[in-house]
Amino acid sequence: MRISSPPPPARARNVRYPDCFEHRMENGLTVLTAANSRLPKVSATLALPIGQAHSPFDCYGLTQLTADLLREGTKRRSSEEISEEMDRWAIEYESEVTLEHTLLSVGALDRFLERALTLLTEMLLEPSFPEQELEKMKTRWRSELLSQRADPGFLAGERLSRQLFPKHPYGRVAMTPAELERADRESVQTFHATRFSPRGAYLLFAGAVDHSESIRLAERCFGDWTPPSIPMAALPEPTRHAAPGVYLVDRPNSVQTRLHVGSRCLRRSDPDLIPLSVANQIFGGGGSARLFLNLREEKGYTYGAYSQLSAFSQSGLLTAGASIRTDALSDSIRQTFFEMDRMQQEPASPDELHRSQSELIGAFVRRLETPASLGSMELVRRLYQLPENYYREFIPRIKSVTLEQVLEKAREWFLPERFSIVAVGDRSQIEPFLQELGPVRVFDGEAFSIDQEL
Amino acid sequence: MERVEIPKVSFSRHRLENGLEVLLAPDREVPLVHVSLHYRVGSSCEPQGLSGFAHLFEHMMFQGSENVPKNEHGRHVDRAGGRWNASTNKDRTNYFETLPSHFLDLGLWLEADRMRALQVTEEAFRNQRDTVIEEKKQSYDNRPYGSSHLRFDELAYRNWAYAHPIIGSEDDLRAAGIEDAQAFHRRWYGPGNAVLVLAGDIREKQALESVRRNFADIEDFTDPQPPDLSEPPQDEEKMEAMTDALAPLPAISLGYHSDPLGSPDYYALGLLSLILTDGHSSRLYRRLVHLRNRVTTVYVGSNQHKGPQLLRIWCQVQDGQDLDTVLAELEEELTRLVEEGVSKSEIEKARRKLAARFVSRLETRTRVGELLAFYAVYYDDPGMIHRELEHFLRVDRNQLQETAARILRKKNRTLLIVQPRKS
Repeated sequence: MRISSPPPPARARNVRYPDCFEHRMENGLTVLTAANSRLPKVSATLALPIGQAHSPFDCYGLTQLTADLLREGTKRRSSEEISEEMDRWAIEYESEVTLEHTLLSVGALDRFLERALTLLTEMLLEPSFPEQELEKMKTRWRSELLSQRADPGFLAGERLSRQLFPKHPYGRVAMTPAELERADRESVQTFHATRFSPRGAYLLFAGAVDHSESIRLAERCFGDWTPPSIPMAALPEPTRHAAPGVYLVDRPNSVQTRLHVGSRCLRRSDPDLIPLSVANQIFGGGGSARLFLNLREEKGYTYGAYSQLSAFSQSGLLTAGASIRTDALSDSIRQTFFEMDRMQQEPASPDELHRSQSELIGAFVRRLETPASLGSMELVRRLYQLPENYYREFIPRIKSVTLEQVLEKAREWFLPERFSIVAVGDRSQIEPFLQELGPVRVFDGEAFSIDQEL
Repeated sequence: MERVEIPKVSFSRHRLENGLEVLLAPDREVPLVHVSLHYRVGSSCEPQGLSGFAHLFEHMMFQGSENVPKNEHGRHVDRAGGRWNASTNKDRTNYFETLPSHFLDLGLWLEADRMRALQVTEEAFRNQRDTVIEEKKQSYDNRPYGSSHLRFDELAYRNWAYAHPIIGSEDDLRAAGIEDAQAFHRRWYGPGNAVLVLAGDIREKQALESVRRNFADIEDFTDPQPPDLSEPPQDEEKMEAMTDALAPLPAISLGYHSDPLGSPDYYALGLLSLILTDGHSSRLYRRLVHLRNRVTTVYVGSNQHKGPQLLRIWCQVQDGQDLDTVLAELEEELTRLVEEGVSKSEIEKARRKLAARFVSRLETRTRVGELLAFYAVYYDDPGMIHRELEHFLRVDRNQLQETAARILRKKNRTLLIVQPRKS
């Protein structure tokens, strides 16, 4: 039967926000359990409120280096023995260091949980940081630094962060080779001894485990972990403002140009982030957003163009970007700013508002599907000190955003004159396009020249 | 190894009169449903001169159909709070929506509308051709090693079906026209050449009624003659070196011809790949990365084609290391495998990892739906979702060694070396 108009929805089922249980240990560590026994597997994630931005300013990357070295030797086991134990019991180990947090996790079939957690505990509390493993890791990192610099997206993001957060840890994106050389066993040991603390840390169990078992395991494994005496200093608020500018990062032989525009924006705990995220969704949040429809679906300049909000504890970023046909660089910049102006001048349509709200709510609901993704939201909420009901009230709060609020936020944040422009591509081809916009500052893709600029 | 109980996925299989295969996998825990349509057409079905067309055509499916104008498909799904996308590989093309379950009918209506008839304008066709050319640059031409990834299959396969890249050549993309799209749709995009999967919060009877309501009247015009995928045996090593101006470090790419998905070789090589590179205690990782720092990364795995496969090995040479030494050590490890086989504990580790991954892969409804569709399209047997692990676990040490000896021969291999351009 041919039906010419879209069928209406059936009655919606209620979305239930699953429980996540919490228990505070004496040493300050908080145990969380997102229980779900649908599958016989479980993960344990230790989350610490330290990230790349907490690295010493003259040794960016030390947090990551310390985290990476945890698996390279403990007082009881060599690096090889740790790897053997992981592989033998199919324990999936991951360490993720973000700008402000470190997440160390083990995942396994439920019957191997205690083994997995015991190993995680040993790596975290009794690392030996063998000199030889540190040297090997530094060699690997040297190649890694080279590889990063071959990636246009990395180069664009790095240049933008440096411009938007001068002299602030948020402005750092990668270690320099000189910093890597300076990192030694002592600095790693000291960083671990003073910064890895149960205070403000979380241990999340997600999967086939119940809360009482989580508590028992946490007490057994981490009960004796004592916090270091040095209190943790909060990150400073970025104060220095750099004037927006036009930046070119030369990447010879590029056959396309990576374009990013960005400006500073709201911090994670700012309640305005909710209406702003709806405005951003309308502007560039997905395949139905204005930026995508313009640059891809109308002009065919790119495979995809998106904008995004990144929010940290002290500040945030609003960026838009695309990989574009090089000869369309000028018009891509023009169109991006045209769409920003349109956000301020033309109110969004009711359909755009509704659709963007639905997209944000839909993405949220999908994150409730697995205990691990639910648990990671619960971790984020606590690490950023968001209100207790933040996620339970997420859906009504998104739904309550009005067209007027979207316009208001657009007029506050989608201001082209506040945005810096970064283009990564072949200098000889793109510099003339950028010069039309004003003075261009040129960088090459190598670490050393970026260094001199710091 | 201890027995691992993999939770059963409950599903039923149906076929409409017009040939549409329907798989229903109800699981009502969360209010989400994954709707996925897999068409049995991929880049291997393209005629010569139209490389990249199956993928370009995938883009056309978002450019308008009878009741859904250009870009409206995505808007409908977005309004419902769902997510949507599509992908093309060498053997099949899939289109999916993961929706709040009360929008199931909407997902089915959208898919039925574009299966029934496309309405793409000349302008939309040209626009997407430009977009795909930029996609090729973003994913391959402007990315380190991207051009070598495109080159590898051309070098390794003699049969054009698998030799040419999915993304195609820019010349062929430019030569394609809208009339090719209409013909392609008619030949490949009908109920008789598709599998529809619904996984998640559905009631089976109602869901099947809705499927019938939307799809039963679509006439099947498809003429899906599967391409000849046969690959003549390789009797000489193939070798090539190329320069990549964007590559930061040298890289080595290897491929060994082997039998199709689901063959005894496939399962044996699956275990072998785990033993060689999965985890830091695996043979190649331990030696080439951990102990000696010869390479930054090393990967081994089958390329997952329905027809003749390649066991692929890829590694990036560490800064300051000598490529010939890396290659020699790599070969030494493969020879050791052929001559000495693997230990009992190595095969145990690999089996346990597989069991754990067969559990993990059932985590989301999206994944369950895609797995059922995969087994239906590649094996014509969605029940393999429950049985495939057994095929892996049955491989024993003798079979592993025998397979390694037969496959990992120099004459059977393709070697592509990528050198950065020295500035």
